[in-house]
Amino acid sequence: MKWYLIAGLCLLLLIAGCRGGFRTGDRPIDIDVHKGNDGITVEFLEQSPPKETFPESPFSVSYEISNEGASDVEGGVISIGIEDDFVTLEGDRIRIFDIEGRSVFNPVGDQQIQTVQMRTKSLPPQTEVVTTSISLNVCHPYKTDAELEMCVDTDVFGRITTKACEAKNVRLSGGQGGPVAVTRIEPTYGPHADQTRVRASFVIYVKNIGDGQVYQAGKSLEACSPLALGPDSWNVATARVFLGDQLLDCTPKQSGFGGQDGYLQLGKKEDFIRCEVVDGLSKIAGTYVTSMTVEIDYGYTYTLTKQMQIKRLV
Amino acid sequence: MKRGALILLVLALAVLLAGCPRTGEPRENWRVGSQGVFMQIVPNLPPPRIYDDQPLELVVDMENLGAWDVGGPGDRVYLSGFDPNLITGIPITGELMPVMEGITQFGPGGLGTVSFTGIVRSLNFRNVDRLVQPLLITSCYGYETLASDTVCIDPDPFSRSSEVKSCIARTAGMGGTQAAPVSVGPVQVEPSPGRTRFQISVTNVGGGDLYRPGGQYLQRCSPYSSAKLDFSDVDRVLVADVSVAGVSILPSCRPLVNGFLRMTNGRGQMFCELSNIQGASAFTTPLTVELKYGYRDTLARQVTILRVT
Repeated sequence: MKWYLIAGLCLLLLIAGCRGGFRTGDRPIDIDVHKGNDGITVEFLEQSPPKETFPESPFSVSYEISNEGASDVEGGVISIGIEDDFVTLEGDRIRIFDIEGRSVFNPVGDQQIQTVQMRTKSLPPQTEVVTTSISLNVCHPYKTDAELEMCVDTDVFGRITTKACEAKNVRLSGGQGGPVAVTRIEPTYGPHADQTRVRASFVIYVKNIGDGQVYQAGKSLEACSPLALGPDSWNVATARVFLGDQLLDCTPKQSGFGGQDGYLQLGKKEDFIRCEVVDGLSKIAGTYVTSMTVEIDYGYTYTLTKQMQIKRLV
Repeated sequence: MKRGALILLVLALAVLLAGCPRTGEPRENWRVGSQGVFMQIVPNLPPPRIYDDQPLELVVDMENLGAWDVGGPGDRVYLSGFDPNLITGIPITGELMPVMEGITQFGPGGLGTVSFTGIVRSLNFRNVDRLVQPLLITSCYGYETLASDTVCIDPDPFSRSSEVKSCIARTAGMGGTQAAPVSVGPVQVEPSPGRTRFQISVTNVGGGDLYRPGGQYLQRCSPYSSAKLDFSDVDRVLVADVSVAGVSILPSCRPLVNGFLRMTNGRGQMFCELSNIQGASAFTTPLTVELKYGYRDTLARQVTILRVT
């Protein structure tokens, strides 16, 4: 009887060991998904399109869309580019996709494969081989959420020697799970007209760290189609900044728009905005660490191309 | 053989008993140490990481390592450093410091515990997955230092007579530290005909912040106070008394401003004088220095809050 009891206990321990310990509940994995420079990546699958094919033959082009960033995408656009003299496309040239990004519950992000059917045309006379290109022009809305810890120091005259934190410039490297990233934040705390309060302002630097181009959020279809996207809509993004629960007032603003969002012009890849706590901070709050969230809304576009040969049958 | 074992046992018992501290017997030189109130956070209260559906519980163990009683009405312990909109329920008025007697010749100082419980708001509202929150425990309390040593008073230090003197004026160590975060000493004794000067040094040895004593300054010590301790409030110690043979020589002490000695980089120095010394022969007598001040100690810990949903 005792022997069975001991054996049973050993078995239980072994099982627990194999499972990596007993489960302690449905807790998320502690992982920082807001890291990295990538957002939506698109890749042609191997042998797609084939390196070589023949005239008047059907073939398919498959590509994989991955969301390696931390933002979900709805209404992403892929515009398929072909040389109409050599290839015909079956179906629409514009393909729409929705894809979930990385999160603590989905640390890898979603992937999906799309396939497009095409057909080669007959080659012109006297032509034995033609090299043609197939391109994918990707346009998608995206959002970078930079989450960081910010030291709020209302003791502007430095009367307290030991503080919970020190207000200093924050450098952010490695991206925040999107191709546009916050690179630096410079906080400034100073005296306020109301002596019980402190002025708090932040200069926030934002950079396009990807290989693509930024455009105004909400204009993906225009950016990826023959519909013209005006010059004012290229290289611009809006930023909304929160210090703890408080929405900050940022400048410059988009002309003709109110609100508290800042307006970034990333034509030279980098720009900055200045954000301030409306009415300042109460001195009673002391010195503490709170969250700062910078939400940058933009559209992002880039193109990838693959070549294939059409060979005449001998 | 049995007898030998018995002797060995008795000897071992004797050695053991000798090693045990004796209780009930007064200790000599007990007023030693450089700390006032010692604080430490109870392990895993809070744990290094908590989820945003858990309360924040922090418990601080305290011990009075100094020789002055604490736990008066102005003595408080504060928890700060965290985002007050994220962790709520922590009183900005702090918690009363438990009443803890100072150490005496009969035994150690009192023990106490202060606990804080905060409600953590969901990180969902901020759309952040994790947030590191510093927790700064600040204790603000009034304290006193009582330093005493024997000094030699020589009314005629330069006499040519061959009379053997009972003592020679030399520096008084004041015991090194005096079971308080502010210590007195060493005191240089400089005798001259009819008067003796004392060069008294005061040092902040506790590692905390020193400021003026009194209720209003204890309030300003709070990390939540809008009227923080001013530059003219910190590094000031009230010299309550300096006496030789029970006679106060405080009025002679310089440089004091309204009774306060200013400290620079944790050190201060004052000069006091005993004048009109009667008689011609040297004698030893106690020199006593009494200081009053407010003291602030801080202790830091970090907790990472993780989002659950």
